[in-house]
Amino acid sequence: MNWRSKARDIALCGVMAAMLELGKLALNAIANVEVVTLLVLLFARHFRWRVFPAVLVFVGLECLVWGLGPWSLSYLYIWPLLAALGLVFRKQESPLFWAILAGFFGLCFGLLCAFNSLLTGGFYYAITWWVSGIPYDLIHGAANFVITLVLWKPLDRLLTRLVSI
Amino acid sequence: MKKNTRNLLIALCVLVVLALVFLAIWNYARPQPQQGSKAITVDVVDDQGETRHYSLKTDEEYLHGALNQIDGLTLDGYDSDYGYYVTTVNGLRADYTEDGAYWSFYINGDYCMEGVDSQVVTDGDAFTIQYELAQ
Repeated sequence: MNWRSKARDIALCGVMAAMLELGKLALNAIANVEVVTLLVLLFARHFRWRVFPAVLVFVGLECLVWGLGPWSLSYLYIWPLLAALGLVFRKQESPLFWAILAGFFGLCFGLLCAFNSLLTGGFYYAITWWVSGIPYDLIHGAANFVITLVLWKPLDRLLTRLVSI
Repeated sequence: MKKNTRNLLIALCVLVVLALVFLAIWNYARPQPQQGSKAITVDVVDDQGETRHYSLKTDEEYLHGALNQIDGLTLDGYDSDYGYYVTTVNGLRADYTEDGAYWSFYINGDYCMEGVDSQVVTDGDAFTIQYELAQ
């Protein structure tokens, strides 16, 4: 790998992280509706391993914006896990497949975060924490499904074109 | 029907069923409101660490309504997608955007899992409202 492609990768990671953060902030006013899931899956499909540093930079930016909290630790494994899923299934073409994957991720978001609560507060705390957030997880899953189903095809085409330049 | 399409439809069905299971778990496990009179206590810990103690007998089922009944305790805030967000207690404003300050709510020593609108009040509950700073 020469220095030019290294510089390009670093720049690409920066642009991806900025898009993730902007996407998050843009829809911040609407509870549990976000485009980060869609973008992480698209980035994993098109830019492969480069999505991981981008996701970690995004988590760092989130900590800078909101301060450190129990969620910070969860973010360190939740978003890379999604990126890994995107990478594993990158050959899938159907928008419905990606919408279902995004739906599962949104629905299980609280459950995934609860693993962190398990370490910090114990089993009962983690279960109570997860159950109280289930209505928000249902919204998150439904919103992820619809957003991904609608936006997958045009964004996927756009990225395919951009990558080939 | 192609095998891939069939698999996707099965996955979609699993997603819907999982959502329904989660909804059923939430409906079964969430705290149920208690009718009738309840005696509760509320401690307010301000930014200097000073505590003001309040006691109340109330028929309110949720914390927000109960807090509004306490003489000498004032709340201010706004409605958000997550319910009522308390910004000011007894005239002391916690501004998260300025210095990461917020009011946190505890029930019987544990962090409240619900907002003030949906936090159920039961007889004997001891609530603490504490001014805290994000780390």
